[in-house]
Amino acid sequence: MDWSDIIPYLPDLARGFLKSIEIALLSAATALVTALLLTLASATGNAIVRAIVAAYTEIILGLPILVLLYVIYFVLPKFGVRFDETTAGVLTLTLYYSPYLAEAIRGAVAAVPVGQVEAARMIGLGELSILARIVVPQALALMIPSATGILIGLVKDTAILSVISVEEFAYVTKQVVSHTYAPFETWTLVAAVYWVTLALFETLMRGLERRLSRFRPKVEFH
Amino acid sequence: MPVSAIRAEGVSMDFGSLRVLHGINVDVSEGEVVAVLGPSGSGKSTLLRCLSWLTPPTEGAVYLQGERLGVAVAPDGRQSRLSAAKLARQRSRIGMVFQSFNLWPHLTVLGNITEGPVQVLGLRPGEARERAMTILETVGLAAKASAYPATLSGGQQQRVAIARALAMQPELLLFDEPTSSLDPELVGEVLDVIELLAARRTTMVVVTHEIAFASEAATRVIFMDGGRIVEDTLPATFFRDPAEERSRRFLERTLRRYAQFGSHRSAEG
Ligand SMILES: Nc1ncnc2c1ncn2[C@@H]1O[C@H](COP(=O)(O)OP(=O)(O)O)[C@@H](O)[C@H]1O
Ligand SMILES: [Mg+2]
Repeated sequence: MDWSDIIPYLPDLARGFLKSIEIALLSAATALVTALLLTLASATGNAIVRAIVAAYTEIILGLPILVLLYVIYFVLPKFGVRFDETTAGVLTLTLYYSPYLAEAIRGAVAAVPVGQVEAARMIGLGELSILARIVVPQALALMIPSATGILIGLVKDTAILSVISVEEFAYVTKQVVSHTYAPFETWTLVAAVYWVTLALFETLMRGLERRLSRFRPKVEFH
Repeated sequence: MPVSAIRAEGVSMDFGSLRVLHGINVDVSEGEVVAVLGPSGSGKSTLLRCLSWLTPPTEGAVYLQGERLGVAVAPDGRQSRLSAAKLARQRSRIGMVFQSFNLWPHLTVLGNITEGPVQVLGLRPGEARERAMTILETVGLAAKASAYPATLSGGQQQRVAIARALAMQPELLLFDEPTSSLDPELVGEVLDVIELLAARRTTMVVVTHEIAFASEAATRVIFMDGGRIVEDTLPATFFRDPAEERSRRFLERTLRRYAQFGSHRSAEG
């Protein structure tokens, strides 16, 4: 057994990898939008809206993501709600990760001192301008560290979609292994690709955070 | 007849079941510099927050140049909440300086000062920058225009906060203990700016513990205790011969502290 056995399957692995990236990007985008809506709903909505958001959050936080995936893919069709594998996967990742991201957003917004908002009110800025020009620019920088951790979880969890046969990276890898009988080499390669991808993502986010918070004095370590 | 810059009529404020302001009546005329003194918890900050409608009072009315603040009054006398846009517009006519500066850390000094003129008053960025630079000269910080607040000392930050308020060309300025969070050696530079404004007859209400400032720069002293105005008089009268026992005790305590630690300004000469 040696590494060259994998070479014919590299295009398959690449396809799986790209599918994972596609699902991750799509899910991250929809999860962020959902999180934003959840945050807005619990900040501005009436008591009923807030109760619904709270209940939703409680339910999601109490479920393993695998169970959520099975519910969406196997249980919902019994009630006439049917999704293809990829959609079910994206929906699961979105539903599962949006409450965590909402909490990251809420925490970042709350970390902007209320005095800054009051100063803006006294200048005569409207509430929307205050949000857009004072709160969001700072909250973005503040939420990056926690959001990065959450999104890394989301990327990793795309592998779970292999259980409903979404042809993502882990799923394709399993199939390749069944042809090559080279699990050691194949999984080592795939692990390295996951790791490098996530390390790159983390570095990117760290750079972005530095850029967005360059107004803060550099912390000097002694 | 002096023109009333801001006037409170029967302003009361409750936090839950706690009444912290009891029917405050106060009328500040244009050009007055009112020092508000009083022990901690006497309601000084709450009064300023009611005057600026940051905390709408439970009862009573506030008038800005005779115009009802925060409340729309229909011709038939019915009252309703003023629209958010109109309230914002009214607030833009009142400058407020906070104990904790509250600068926007993601904007430069210039950005902090031009934000209101550009976004609220609709000045062109060039005009706003020019206005900001002139004011920065006044507060002695022209060299710091492109610095971020976090790189400034507390005294410098507070002077930027004053500049930010001035850039709106407000009808009056409210200060809530503008020097209380500053290191003693930085108090003087901020008081100098406020005194300069006082000399220019800027209408100001200044909550402060700086007795020297109150007696020298203010044209009027208000002493508060327990959510009430206990004394409202000339500085000379207040400091030489306070009418009330409570003011007398407060003055004694404060002056004793002064004798002990010295005026903040003595450090600076
Ligand atoms: N947001 C608030 N909620 C409840 N109580 C408050 C609030 N703000 C002020 N108070 C109370 O109101 C009283 C007056 O406070 P404040 O106006 O801050 O006094 P001062 O500025 O004179 O020290 C205090 O007893 C304070 O605890
Ligand atoms: Mg106070």
